[in-house]
Amino acid sequence: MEIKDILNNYGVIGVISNYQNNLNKDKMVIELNINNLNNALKMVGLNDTFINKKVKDLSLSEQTKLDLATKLTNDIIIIGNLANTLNYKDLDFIKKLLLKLNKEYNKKIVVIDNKVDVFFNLTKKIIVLQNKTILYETEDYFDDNLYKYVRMPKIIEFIKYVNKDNKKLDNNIDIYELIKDIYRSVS
Amino acid sequence: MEYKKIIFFNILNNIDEKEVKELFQYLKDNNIVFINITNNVELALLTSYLIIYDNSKIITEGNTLDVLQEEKLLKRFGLSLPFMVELSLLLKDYNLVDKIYLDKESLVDYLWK
Repeated sequence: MEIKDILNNYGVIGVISNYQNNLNKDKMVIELNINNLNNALKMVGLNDTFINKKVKDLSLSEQTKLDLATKLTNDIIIIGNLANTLNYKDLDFIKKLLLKLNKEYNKKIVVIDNKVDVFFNLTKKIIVLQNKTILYETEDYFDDNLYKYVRMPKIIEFIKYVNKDNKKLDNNIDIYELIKDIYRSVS
Repeated sequence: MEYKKIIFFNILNNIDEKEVKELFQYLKDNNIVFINITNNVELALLTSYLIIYDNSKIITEGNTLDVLQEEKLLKRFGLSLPFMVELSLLLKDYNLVDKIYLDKESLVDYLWK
């Protein structure tokens, strides 16, 4: 199955792979031909003070947001490298934006990253891609086979470690639910 | 005693955690001072001194564990905590632990003793 077939069934998918944006680093933001530039910048958490800046002078997080701004009018939005460029507040903001783009504007979203945590609360469908070939796909964050290809998130590592001794914690990706679960288990 | 210095800039993020730990241990054993500039908070746990900066300004600095317990300050600047630190702090709120546990084995042993 190809990614475009998978996108027919899922609004948002997570892809484990490498990603690099195609922004022309020598151009100014205004030269990137972004539709409705001011609104696009505002939507991704930037503003019109960025218009005359050169892409290469922006921070990594600003470039990631700008990358998204260039793609807002696409039917399929492919964005990546969020974990290495965004702090947790910005990441939360961009994830909510991506979900809104999918739910309210019917965009298909493909998020490419090397960290599984990025996909939490964004999608359950995860694909491992290498050299344009799908090596593995799953809808279960607790699928051990997934972690042959990528590092296991700490919360999942913890729960699996505890459950090795039959202590019975639920498979949670939310730390607050995990805390409640631990409380119930040890009380 | 003469110290050499190495600065890493975001190059350790995609290296296996076990190998990063081995690298840091090697550097410590050979008295090489290293500065790891990163946005990966988990790597902060492998260091003894932590400086948090934002927009080229130092927000806070000090002993790593002390800095990582300034939860509100760090979150104000959009920084998350290492998983074990966050988990320990939340468990402290529930009075299930009374300190920060940095490794899951010790924490699990304590909780389900």
